[in-house]
Amino acid sequence: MRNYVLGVLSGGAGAALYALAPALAWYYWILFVSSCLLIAFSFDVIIGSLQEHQKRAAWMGGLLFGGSGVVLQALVWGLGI
Amino acid sequence: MTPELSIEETTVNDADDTGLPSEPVDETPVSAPVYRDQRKRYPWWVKGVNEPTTATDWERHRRMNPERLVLDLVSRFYHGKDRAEVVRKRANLGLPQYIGVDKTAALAKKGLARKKRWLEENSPGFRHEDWALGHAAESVQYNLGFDFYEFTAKSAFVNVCERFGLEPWKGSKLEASRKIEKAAIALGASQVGFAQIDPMYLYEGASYPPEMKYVIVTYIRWTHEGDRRRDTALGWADNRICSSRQDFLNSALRNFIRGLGYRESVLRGPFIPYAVNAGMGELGRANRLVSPVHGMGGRITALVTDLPLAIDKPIDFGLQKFCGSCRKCAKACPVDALSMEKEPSWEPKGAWNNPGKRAYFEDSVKCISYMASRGTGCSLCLAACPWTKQSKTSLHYVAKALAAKLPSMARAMVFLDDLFGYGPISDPELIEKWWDLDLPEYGLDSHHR
Repeated sequence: MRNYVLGVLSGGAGAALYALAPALAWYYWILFVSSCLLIAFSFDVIIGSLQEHQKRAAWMGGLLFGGSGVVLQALVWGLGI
Repeated sequence: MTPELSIEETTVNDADDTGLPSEPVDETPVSAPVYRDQRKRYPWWVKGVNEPTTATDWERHRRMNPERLVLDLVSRFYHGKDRAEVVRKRANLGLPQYIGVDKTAALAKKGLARKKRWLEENSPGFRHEDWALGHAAESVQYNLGFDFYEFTAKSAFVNVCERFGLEPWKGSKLEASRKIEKAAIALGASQVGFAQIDPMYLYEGASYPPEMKYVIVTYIRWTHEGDRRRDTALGWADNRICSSRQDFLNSALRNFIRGLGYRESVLRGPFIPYAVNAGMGELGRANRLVSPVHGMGGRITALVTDLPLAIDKPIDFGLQKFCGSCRKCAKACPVDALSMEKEPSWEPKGAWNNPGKRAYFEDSVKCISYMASRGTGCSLCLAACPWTKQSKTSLHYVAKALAAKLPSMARAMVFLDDLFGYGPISDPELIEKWWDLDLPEYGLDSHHR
């Protein structure tokens, strides 16, 4: 279910990006996909680490992977549009 | 010394997957070993190899004398006032041969005094209920005074072959290995490997009839929550629970083999070389088996049988290079018993080490002395290993694959391992939180393969 929701959100974001900037350069799309993967991975790390009772790993993973993903998303939306 | 390779592996009839008996299709000569497909056992970053990754010098290697071991495997089956008597009578065994009987007794007395102080202070992780759990877990074995198998041998139990007058079970070597593996896992093993007897890896004086040449190695893992609490009464309780499960597994598996109509015996030799030969892991810095799946989070045991089995090849997942840079286990040791050298050595640390292999030899006297004075079984080195992980996040899979394929990145991986807070817990509140965790049966909450 989680992967489904993340997939829908990523697809929606991608569709919105294309609608707003259909002539976006190819490297922005690579950044966009990479950031979606990083954000999805960070969800996996956060939820899995909490299930493993590793709280520090959960927020460190969220910060490292999710934070990087958010920064890349900001770059794409900020510079690409 | 691994057996000569067979030219081709036996293929298994697809009917095996339906559970129906298949015709033996083994066309290789009876004496030639048959190997299992290692690709089915592990992820892609673990490869099967023909020789173990630990270098061996057969000129220097000799069979191990178990009486040189620092951990006495005899007197541990006595307790109370009887144990002190055994320690005094058998001064040539275990720790006393290296530091003397009186010093050994003093360490044990120190451990007992420490336990009493923890109980009086109600220290987190060392409370009344924490110790009670560990003692309860080992109570069956210790109260019986001998292992489960001996108990069944003296009871009214009769195995199925004798009971119904059955002929010994027949099948191909691959089929036999599959049956043993599934039975062992159903009885509590986390992983099973198969090897052949190597006389150089038996204790001095041990021997088996020529047909008893197959070794079944089983791995039972500790729980991760117990692992994180090593060197506390809760960690010790987890260790004892695992030991009890191991006793049940061993005894039941032995009776299973007898029920199939074959002979079995405990392996009278060190288990780790067989575990390495059976492809269950590599020899790591702590001189223990490191599994690519379980790390150092479990116990090994081994049986010998004359049931013809397909065997496994050793594996390589880059551990030798990784351990060279990691050193996390050595840093976790409270008494610096483990080697901090970058490269392994051919020179043993003492008479308790067996020469002839290139390894990170440890000072077992320091290690066991600490354990004796602590009373908790320590094992901090095993808990600190970055390969000892659960399986609920794919982060571990990615990290292990990177560590296996890019062992030069070991330092960065270890840095991240520390940054993410993996390893033994030191916060007393977190240690005591074990009693609030929602753990499943036996505390085993990760599925590994």
